[in-house]
Amino acid sequence: MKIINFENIKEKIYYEKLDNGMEVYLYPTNKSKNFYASISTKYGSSTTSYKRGEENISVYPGTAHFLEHKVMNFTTNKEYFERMNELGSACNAYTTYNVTNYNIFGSGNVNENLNLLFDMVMNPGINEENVESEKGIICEEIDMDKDDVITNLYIKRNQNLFHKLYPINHILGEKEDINKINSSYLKMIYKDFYKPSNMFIIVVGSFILEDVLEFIKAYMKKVKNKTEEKIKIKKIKEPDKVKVEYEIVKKEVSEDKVYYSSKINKKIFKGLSDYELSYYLRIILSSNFAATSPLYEKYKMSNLITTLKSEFKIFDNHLILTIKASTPNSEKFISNLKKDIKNLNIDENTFIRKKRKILSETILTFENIEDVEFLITNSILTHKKLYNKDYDLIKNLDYKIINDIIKKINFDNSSLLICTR
Amino acid sequence: MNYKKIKEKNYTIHLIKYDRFKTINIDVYFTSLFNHKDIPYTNLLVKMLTFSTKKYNTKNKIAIQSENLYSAQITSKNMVLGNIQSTLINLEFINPSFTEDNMYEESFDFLKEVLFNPNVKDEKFDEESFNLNKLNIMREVNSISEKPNLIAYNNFSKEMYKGSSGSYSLFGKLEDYKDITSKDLYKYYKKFINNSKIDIVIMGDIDEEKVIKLTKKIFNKLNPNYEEIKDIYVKTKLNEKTLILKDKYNFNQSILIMGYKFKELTEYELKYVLSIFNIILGTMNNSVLFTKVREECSYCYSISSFVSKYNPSLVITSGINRKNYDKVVSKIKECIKLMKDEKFISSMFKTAIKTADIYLNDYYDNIYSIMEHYFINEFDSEEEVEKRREEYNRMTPKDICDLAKKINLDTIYFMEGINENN
Repeated sequence: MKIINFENIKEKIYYEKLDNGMEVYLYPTNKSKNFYASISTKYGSSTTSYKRGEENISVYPGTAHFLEHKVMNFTTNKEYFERMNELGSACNAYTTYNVTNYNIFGSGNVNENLNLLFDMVMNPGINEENVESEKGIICEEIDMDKDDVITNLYIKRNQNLFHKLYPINHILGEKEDINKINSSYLKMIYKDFYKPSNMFIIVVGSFILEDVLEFIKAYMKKVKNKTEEKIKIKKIKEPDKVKVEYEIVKKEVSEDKVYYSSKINKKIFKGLSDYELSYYLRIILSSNFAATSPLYEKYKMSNLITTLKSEFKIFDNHLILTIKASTPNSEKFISNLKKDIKNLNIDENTFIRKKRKILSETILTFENIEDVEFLITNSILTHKKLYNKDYDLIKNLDYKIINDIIKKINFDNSSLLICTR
Repeated sequence: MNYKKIKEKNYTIHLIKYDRFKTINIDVYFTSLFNHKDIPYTNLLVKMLTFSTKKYNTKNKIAIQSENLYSAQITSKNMVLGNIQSTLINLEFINPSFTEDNMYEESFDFLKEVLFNPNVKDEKFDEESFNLNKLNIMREVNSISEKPNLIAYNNFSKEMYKGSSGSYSLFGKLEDYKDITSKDLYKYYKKFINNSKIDIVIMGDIDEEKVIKLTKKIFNKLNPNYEEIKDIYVKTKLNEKTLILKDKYNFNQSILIMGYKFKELTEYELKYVLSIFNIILGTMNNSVLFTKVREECSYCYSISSFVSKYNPSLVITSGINRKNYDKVVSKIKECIKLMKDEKFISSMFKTAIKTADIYLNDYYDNIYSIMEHYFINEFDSEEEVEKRREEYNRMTPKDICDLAKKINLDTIYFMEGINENN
């Protein structure tokens, strides 16, 4: 068992890779009386097509999420759930672009809870009847999401930025995609992606380290990789140019919402890992658009914004920067923003203050057991392993480098989305 | 965890020494009897107090000072609990043992600045900030029209809780804000400071002596004179006939809300049985509603229930397809009927108690629940967690069924989504 130390914040996480390829991360602590455990597959809605051996397979949008519903099926797996309920545990699942996560939260009987969670995830009872009956529930969920203006704008923004990359699809899929899905198709996807070598387990909270590790090892000994055939996710070549530069959508909104996004090929930041780049971008966006920034103050006091937010996300080879605002005067706001965005900057004092802010957030990561699970999951998906050098990395962020990054950021290749009544 | 209550002449300090968290939290509660006319004032006031102060006279400066204090957070919340209204201003900062010793003094100074040195000149709040915040709040109120769940709940509660605090939206109405001036708001601020019961709840691995000294330094000058709060519980009025309300909105999904009231609950039922009843009906993994309505019939994606202790009632909410309205209503009625079946409840009872047990464990991990518990006990007699656990373990399925016999369907609200995609 390997120990991954987080020295500056006096925390450690235990790690073991099992013979079947399953990775295990354990964080025992007496801070909480409860435990939180998850088993995840590194498969989410970003897989739109793949190759198994010589065979090319297309994946319907919404498949990963549909599979999540079927793996965590309360009706088919009745006996698991009854027992989980007797133990008072709560289980849940979610699907993102890169992962499908099944989790359980409870108190005591950790190994029995893990047993139930693993049984459910490793032996799902997918059949034609329960796949058909699930369609109604998923379509209700799609309807619920469609009533959410923000979710709709997020998808629309992606559809305007990308030509063919996965974010153009809704994680839930569309109703017509859902209706094409059947049980044999779901079983095939399950077999290809739910194999130990593509999965990882995390247990955090109140438990005895040795007992839990021993149990996981014993359980996973009987779980083999069902197929040795190599699965290769097809990389989609996404053009650098945005697909749609300008669009107005009509919705029943109380005031205009503006999404101004830039699509940048990340090769211009050569030499920086995605992780380092992410920390610098957090500081740049926060310094220029958060409530501490002069720009926010200027827009707020001139009544140009009700809210102003900024975000970045790296999708494969592209960095997407987005400035989002709710505004009473979209025309004036956009004209100001387009000018101001050419003058991004950061002074040294602000840089030091922002580093201090991120450091304090890092110190607090281990306050909550669910946050620790999220930290591990996120790190595995970003770094392919658990990264424990955040504290030092933040301390060593460099003022010169951040200025170089600022110089490279531009909105020349941008997409503007306006939502208005 | 060690709790200590210090009753000063003008305010009460609640100290919770607990080393579970790396942060120190200070909650300052200003409490008075509920008055719906105060809603727009308290909403505007908390915006103004956290927007700027005399020393940090712009939003920008106040935000920068927060970051200087290792990202200390000032947040605010307005709550209505039964017959009382309370405004909470919270300061959270990293325990100075992880940062710098002087962060105690600096953080308390920051709190003092926010609470007692507002950006006021000539007996009125800074006009420019006031106008801006007023406009923003009015926009927020307007934006409710984008949120189907909020629209539905507001429409429902207006009728279900008619005549009590629960019938008012905490956002207030647009017309409530129109005529308020910065002068009016400052007048209200003085009333708020001088006529509220003040509780200061402090939690963390604190240096007790230092914290008490710093607290007294801020609050000793106050001399509030407030009306005594005798009963936090709203007296429920039962409708003889169920009220059925239907609306049509341009959304994809339809929302069904069913509200129940109870006939003469005992103190024991209100304090303990109601929680377990709700866990069985609508919150645990295999709750009755989840199993019968979603899993067995696929009528909805979401369905759950919640209870209101201080305005005793139970509310079921569900997102459904409009075509299923009649079927869902009748299924929910069947579920409520099942709650009277002792054999059926016995099959779920142990699980519910275990679920409650985990909720109670979670209490120790939740800063806000712990702090709110000590505040609430100024008005109620909420037992300590371990006492609650004991009571849950003593409960029987019969207690649940007895409570189910007192339930009365009061209001059905249906917001029909008529978007053509549906």
